[in-house]
Amino acid sequence: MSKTLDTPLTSAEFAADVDCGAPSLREVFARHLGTVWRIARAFGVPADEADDVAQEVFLVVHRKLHTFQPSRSLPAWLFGITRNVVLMRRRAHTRRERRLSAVEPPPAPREPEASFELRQAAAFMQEFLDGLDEDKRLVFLLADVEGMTASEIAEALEIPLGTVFSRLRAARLKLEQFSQRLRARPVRRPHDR
Amino acid sequence: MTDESTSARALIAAYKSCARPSAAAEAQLWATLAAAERAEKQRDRRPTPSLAPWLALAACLLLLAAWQLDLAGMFASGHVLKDMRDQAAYDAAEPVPQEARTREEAAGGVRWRETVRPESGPAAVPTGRQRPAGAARGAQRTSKVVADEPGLATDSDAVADGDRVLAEMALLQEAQAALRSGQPAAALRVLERHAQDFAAGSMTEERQALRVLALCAAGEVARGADEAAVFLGAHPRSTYAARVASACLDGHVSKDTSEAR
Repeated sequence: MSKTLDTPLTSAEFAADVDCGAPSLREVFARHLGTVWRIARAFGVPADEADDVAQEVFLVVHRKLHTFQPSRSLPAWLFGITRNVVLMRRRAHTRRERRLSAVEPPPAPREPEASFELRQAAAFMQEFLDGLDEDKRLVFLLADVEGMTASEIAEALEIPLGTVFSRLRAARLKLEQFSQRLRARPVRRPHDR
Repeated sequence: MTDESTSARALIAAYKSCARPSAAAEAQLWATLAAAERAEKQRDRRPTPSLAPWLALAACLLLLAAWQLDLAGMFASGHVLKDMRDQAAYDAAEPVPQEARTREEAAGGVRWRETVRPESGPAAVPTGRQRPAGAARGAQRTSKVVADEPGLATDSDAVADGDRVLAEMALLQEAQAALRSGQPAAALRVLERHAQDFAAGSMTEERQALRVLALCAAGEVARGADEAAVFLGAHPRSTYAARVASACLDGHVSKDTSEAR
C-alpha cells in the first residue's frame, strides 16, 4: 500500500521516516492534517468549522509536541487532542452548534480538480458516516479511513480491543448495505438536468 | 454510477481524497502555525527579564516602610522606651568583662548595678566616656532612675548615648505619669531634675512643653502662660504648640497629656 501524505504512521515508522526521535510540527501537520480534519467531522463538527478545529488542534500540537512520547501512537495522541478541542468547543458553543446543526450548510466546495464522481463518492461516504452512531463512526473512521491498528484505536478511544472489532464489524456491514443501496439508486448528473 | 465507484473501497478512497481542508485553507492553517512557531522562537531568544532586581527593590521598600511605621508606632506608644529598656536588659545580661567587676547593691528597694574599674586601675582618671568626679552624683541618680524600672540595670561608668536618651525619656515619662495622676508638683520636681541632669539634652522641647502643662495644672497660670509664650517663641512649629498654647487659657488642663509626648 502506497503511503500518501495522509497515510498515518506508527510512531516507530514516523521516527524512522523523519530520521529523528521527535517529529517536527511541519511533518506532523503535513501527514495528519486530513486525519485531524476528518476526526473533527466524525465528532459532528460541521465542515465549515472543521478548519478552525484543525487549527486549534495543531496549535496545541505545537505547544505540546515536546511532551509526545515516541512509544505512543501519534495518531492516537492526535485523536485525543482533537477530541478535547471538539469537546471544549461544544461546551463553549452548545447553542450555536445546535443552531448550525439544524441548518446544516452544504458541504464546502472542493477543489475544482476533483472530479464530479470523486466528490460525489466522498459526499456519499460523508452521508454514510453521518448515519452511523458516533461509537461506530469513530472506530470505522480510525480503522478503515485513517488506517490505525486496532490496538491504537483501543488506546485512543480507551475501549477494549474486542469492542473495537465488534464496532468495526458492524460498521463495515452497514457500509456494505449502504453501497448496495447506492448501486440501486438512480444517479443524476449535472448535465442530466 | 458503476459498481466499482460505489464499492466500499472506492467510497473510502474518495472520502480520504476530498474530506480535508482545501488547499487555500491548508496554506492558511500552516501560515498561522508558522507564525506561532516564529513568535515562540523570538520569545525564546529574548532574554527573560529577571525578577530579582524588582524583588530586591520591593523588599527594600517594605523594610523602609516597616522601619518608619515601627519608629512612628514606637514613639506614639512609648515602645522606644521599652525597646531601649529591653536592650539595656540584654546588655545587663551579657557577661561582664574580666577587667571590670560588678557591684550590685540593693538600697530602698532599688536594684542598680554599677561597674567600676579595678582598684589598681586609674579609676580616678576620667576618660572621654567617663564623667568627671563632680558629675558622679548626677550619673548615679540617672542610673537609679533608670533602674527604677523592674529588671533594669545600667552600667553607669559608660553611659552610652542611647542610655542617655533612655534616661531622659524615663524622667519625662515619670513626669508625665505624675501629671496624669494629678500630681503636677511631683511632675515639676521630676522636670527640674531633668533640666539639671540634661540641660542640653535631646528632649528639652518635650520637657518645656510638659513644664507648661504642669505649671498650668498646678495653678501657676501666670508662670505657665509666660513659659508657654517662651516655648511658642522658641518652637513656633512644635508639635506641642497648640497643646501648650491652650494649656493655661481657661485654667483647665486635660489629664490626657499624651499629645505632649
